[in-house]
Amino acid sequence: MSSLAKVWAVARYELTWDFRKRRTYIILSLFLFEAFVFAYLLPAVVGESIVAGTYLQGVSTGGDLWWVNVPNLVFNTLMSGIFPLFIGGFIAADSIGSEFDANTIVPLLSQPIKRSEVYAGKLLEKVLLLLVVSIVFTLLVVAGSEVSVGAQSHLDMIPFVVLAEFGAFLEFTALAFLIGSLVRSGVTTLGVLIAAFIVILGAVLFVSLYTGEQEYMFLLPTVNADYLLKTVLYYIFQPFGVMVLQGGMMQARSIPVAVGVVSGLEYSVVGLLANLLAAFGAGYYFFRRAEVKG
Amino acid sequence: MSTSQASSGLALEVKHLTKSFGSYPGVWDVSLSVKERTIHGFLGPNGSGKTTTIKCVMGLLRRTSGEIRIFGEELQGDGVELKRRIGYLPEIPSYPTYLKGGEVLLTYGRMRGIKGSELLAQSKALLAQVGLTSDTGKPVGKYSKGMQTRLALAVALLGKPDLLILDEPTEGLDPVGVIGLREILKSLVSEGHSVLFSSHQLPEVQQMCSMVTVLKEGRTVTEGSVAELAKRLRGGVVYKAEFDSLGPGLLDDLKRVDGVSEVTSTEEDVVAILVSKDYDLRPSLARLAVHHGSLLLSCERKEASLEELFISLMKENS
Repeated sequence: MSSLAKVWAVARYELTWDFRKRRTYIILSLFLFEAFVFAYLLPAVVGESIVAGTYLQGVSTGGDLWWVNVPNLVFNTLMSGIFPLFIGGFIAADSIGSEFDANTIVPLLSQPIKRSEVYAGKLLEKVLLLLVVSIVFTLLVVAGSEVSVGAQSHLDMIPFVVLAEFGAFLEFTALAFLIGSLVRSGVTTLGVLIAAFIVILGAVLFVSLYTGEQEYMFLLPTVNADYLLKTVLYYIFQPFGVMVLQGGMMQARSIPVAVGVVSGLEYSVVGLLANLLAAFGAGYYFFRRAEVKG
Repeated sequence: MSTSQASSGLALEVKHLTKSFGSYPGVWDVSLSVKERTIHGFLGPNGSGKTTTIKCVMGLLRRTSGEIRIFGEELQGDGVELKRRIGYLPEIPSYPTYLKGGEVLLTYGRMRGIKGSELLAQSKALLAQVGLTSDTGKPVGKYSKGMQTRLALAVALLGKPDLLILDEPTEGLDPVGVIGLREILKSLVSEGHSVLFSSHQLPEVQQMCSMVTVLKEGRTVTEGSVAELAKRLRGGVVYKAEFDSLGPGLLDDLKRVDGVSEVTSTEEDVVAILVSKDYDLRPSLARLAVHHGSLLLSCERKEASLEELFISLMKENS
């Protein structure tokens, strides 16, 4: 049996689980509500100050720095910061931690299948699920905006928005895999994810209040977790200074941009990939070493 | 059955296995040899290290030291190719509760590399074999403990593994289920399979197994055929003696008689005496009774059960 077939067998097992648990449907209901917020509430109630023009227009104005505009557009509220946690983190919290809780990890690891294949199968399923969720979400928002606001422009930005959402969801999935492999408990994984989110939120609030900057939500690690690291570094190196949290921050911290080596887009994508690789890699390290004691 | 079996004639060989959990030694010297085409009993009281040993064999725990060989090949890393030859029934079978009985077999069957119509046919046959045909469509969460054990047995039998490792398989089974299990195991052995049967149900081991390994406090205390073991354990004879009166002095002296390994008071003035040497103890008992101003009213001699020998062995090694 090929390695790919084994990975696919685990992915199918995982997909069946995700589609049969109540939590998935609760989270997907929230996700539909989020689509409603972006398609109707923000443009119709709040107005164009947040969603400039059409839903995708703001993205295109960023040019090479679209990565900065996507979080502004998609993740610039407390609510949208929580959604990736729910969609990417809460569904994945069960993936590894709960297998240990319920002892279902025993029959799984007793099969003639490598641990790397088990981990890869679970990851593959989450990647496919979250990609579908990201595509459906974006299309729903664009279609909803078409109805509520009118004809949408800049549809060529759809792939970038999908990618940004997918990356944000996957960041929390990576955290859930890492925590689940480390603590080997679904409930604790959920708790740690929520606690981490609150701590990050608190830290960002502290920094933004300290600097007087209003766009603190921009720093939520929903798109690119290294915002937090950068924030902390800024605070350490400029404890009495003033932080710039606008798009210019991306320029300021993107040293390669300054020396003309890589673009802001490349820097962002590389940053995201580095985050994902680090979290999934560390998760696999702990999963590989995890023992089934109970 | 695979034809690539090594010439050792052993389905499973564990040598000087140790596994510690921090400063706590889970097992510290377990050796075990399961011959091919036998049902091998794995006995020991709770906490003696049976499950820890099995988990090391299945790769669920990393061994601290020691050697594990499956059909002559050393177990290293994930041991995927070796695991293909093993079917495992865990001590506490737990399957995802959202899956139905039939789906459990299809799910793990796919992971074992069984495909399409072959998987469907095997699943159907195994569910029938363990008596779960009518419960195929029921979610596992609604299965009773006995049904879960039977399902676990069916999962363990997927792919017709050469070696079956069963950790407390009779737990939760009703008497009919136990008889069914016994029949299945005997039929498997006759087809050339090997079985490691971990249990604390001594009568079960006595009935099903030809060989046995006894564990105590994380180490192997003895291994051999059930018949040999009974012989080796000092004759394996029990005298049930009734005295006119049984004072502490007489009881103490009974324990000092040559060959006596265990004296247990069963009723008032009645004792069960486990004797290590197969010789007539009655004259010694009568003499001791008179010496302590008592009388030996009756004395019955019988072969010791494995349970009595097991208890004796446990006490001897304390």
